[in-house]
Amino acid sequence: MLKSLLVLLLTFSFSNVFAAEMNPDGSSGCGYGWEVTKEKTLFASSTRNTTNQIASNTIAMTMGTSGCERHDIVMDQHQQEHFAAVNLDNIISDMAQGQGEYLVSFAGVLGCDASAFGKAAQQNLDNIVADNAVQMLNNIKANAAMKSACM
Amino acid sequence: MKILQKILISLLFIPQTVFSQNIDELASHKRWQRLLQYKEKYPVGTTSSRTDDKRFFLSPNGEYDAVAELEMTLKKFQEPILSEEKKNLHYQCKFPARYKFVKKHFTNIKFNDVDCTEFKWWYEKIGAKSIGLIFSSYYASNPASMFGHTLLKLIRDEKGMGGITDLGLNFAAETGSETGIVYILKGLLGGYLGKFSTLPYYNKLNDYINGESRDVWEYRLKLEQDQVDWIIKHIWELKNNAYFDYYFLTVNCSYLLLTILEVGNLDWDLTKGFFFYALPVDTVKRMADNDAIEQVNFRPSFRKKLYSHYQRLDDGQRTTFKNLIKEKLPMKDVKVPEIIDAYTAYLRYQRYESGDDPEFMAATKKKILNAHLHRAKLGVVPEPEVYNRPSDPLESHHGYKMGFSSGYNNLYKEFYEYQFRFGVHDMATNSKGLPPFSNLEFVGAKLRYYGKEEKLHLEDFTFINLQTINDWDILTKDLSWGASVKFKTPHDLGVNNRYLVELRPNVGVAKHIFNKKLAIASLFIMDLQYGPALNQDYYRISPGLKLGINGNLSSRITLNLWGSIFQSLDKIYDESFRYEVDSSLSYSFNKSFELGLYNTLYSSSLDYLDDSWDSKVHLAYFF
Repeated sequence: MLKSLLVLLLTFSFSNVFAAEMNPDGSSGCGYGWEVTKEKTLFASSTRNTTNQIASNTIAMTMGTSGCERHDIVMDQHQQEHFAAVNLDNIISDMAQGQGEYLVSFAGVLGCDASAFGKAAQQNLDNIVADNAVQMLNNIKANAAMKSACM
Repeated sequence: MKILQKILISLLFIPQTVFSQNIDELASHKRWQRLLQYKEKYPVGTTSSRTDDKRFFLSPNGEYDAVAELEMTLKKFQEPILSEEKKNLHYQCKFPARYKFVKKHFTNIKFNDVDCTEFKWWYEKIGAKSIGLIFSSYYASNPASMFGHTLLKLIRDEKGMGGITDLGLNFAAETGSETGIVYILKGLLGGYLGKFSTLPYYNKLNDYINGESRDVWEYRLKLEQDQVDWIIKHIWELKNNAYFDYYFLTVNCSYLLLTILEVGNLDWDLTKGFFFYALPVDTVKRMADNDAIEQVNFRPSFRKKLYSHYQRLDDGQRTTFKNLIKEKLPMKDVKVPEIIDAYTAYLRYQRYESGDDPEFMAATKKKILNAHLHRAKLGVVPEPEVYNRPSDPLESHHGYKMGFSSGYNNLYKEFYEYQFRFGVHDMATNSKGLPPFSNLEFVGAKLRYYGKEEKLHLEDFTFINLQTINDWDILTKDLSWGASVKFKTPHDLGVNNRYLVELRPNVGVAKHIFNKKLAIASLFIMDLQYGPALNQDYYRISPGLKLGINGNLSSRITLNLWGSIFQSLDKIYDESFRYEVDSSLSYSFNKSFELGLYNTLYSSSLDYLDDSWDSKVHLAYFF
């Protein structure tokens, strides 16, 4: 009994340790690159839940499928959606603060003036904010103040 | 009709020949060898490619015959395109770096350039001006990532580290659903296929910084535009035409990235001399050794950002913050943007760390949204300074260790000890550039020779030894934990030919004190032992308690002091209660040498055996 427990635990600890940098992009088409197995380990105090869920779901939605090497560079028409989907949390957080790297990059991806875009986003956050990237992009495009930052 | 067309084409097509002497010479050219991913193999003097993917070679013998491959390549590059639709399948388009090589060196041959639209689109999309080597640091909370990871960032900017929309290049294994032993063996023996892929850098940053709260170090490499061009073209060749047998330890992500960089600068010698395994941080150090690093940039983990937000609040603001997270205060009453920033960061961290509880996730998400909307009304304030920036991983001591000790034991008198360890760090040694207060040890052994008995003992064989000591505070509330698996001599039973397997998991709480220089910890520990050294049933289970202090007294001096008490569940020996005390004080000279004084105390479980202690001077050599 104890013997098998020890063997089990031994196996377990090794499988985790040597799982280092595995299972990523390839295992589900191009995917979005987890270096680590998705299963929660005994010791892991975190799982990559939030980013993972937001990213994979929304991207699957906007791009049809995330899965093949030809498309591992995001195509132009999808770039805005992709960027917004993967970084939604960070973008909204930056918008609330009126500054930040994600806000500047997002403005760049949309072809907007970063400073004006940031200011307008902070002032109009309640009109822009959304649960998913596509909705947020639509909100931005429908908002007059945001639009003027992108002229 | 089509057949006729093909025959006509092949009649018209006569490849131009070159002098074979020239071919022999160029086939051994460093660049050609590197483009084919050749490496020296055993027996010494023979070379063959790291990949055995047939698609990667145009000649059937290309895997080991560079001349044959070059001859065939010349021939294939001169083939006309079959049709406009299939032009991107032409070998010139599949192997742009080889084409560049061939065109450069065989100027007497007239090649007809194929318009490789797909490659061109990809190449321009990347627009790389330089390359960054990215090291996502040790992730102590998850052993699966404890050695760190490297990837390449294809930097679009002339200067600096470039933005988050640059492209990243990653090498990783495609694993199946195997677990446990099968998974380990397949991984160690190269049973998985590894493959390169490109994806936006922000994807990776999100995983590391937010999802896993790991620090990220970015190193911009010294590369000319032409060297970058070789590298990008070679990446295309690998990405589309090559799988590699992925070995967890040797042909891993970090190692293969070096083979790509080597193609760019022929003066760099990056891949030689990796003995047994390539630790990600060692591959970064290899770049530094070749004077290849132009600039360093640090990106703090989300956890560090959270601390930075908290750290800049004054005492009154911290009280408000605490009331806010305990929901004793309505948020709308708080008008200080810094407090709301800290609060939002706190909530987001909670959400990243919360696991899969959907109710908690939804509730937290709502709180975050409200905090954002409230925050947006409070204007702009500067970002906080990064608090507690760690030292560069390049400054860490090297991964392999050899240890030499000379010591004295009260029962067995003087002894000499030799230690070898594959990796990576233990908390008794200097933690500069490494995660502080942690053990990341795997596969090592200690041999002891006792002068009195003139006998060699195996002191211990460590399979794995992990420990993290996290700060338990209002922000993160992280537990500390550890586990070790050892084959060892149990000192409480005497050292004569007694061996057992020991598994020791532990969990507890700790505080980081004195400006986070030191940590004090209290851990609940479970000691599971199995082996012929023990009683008839061969096992002993002993829960226990472990208390200790660890950290740096100065930038060079490391203190480590631990005491453990155990109570065996069955009374199988005279004493079911036992204790151990471990202490050490070490002085680090540089990345290679460290000198320490180690003392250990063991109680005895046998009536006829005295408690024992030993004291040793230990010289550690890291390499």
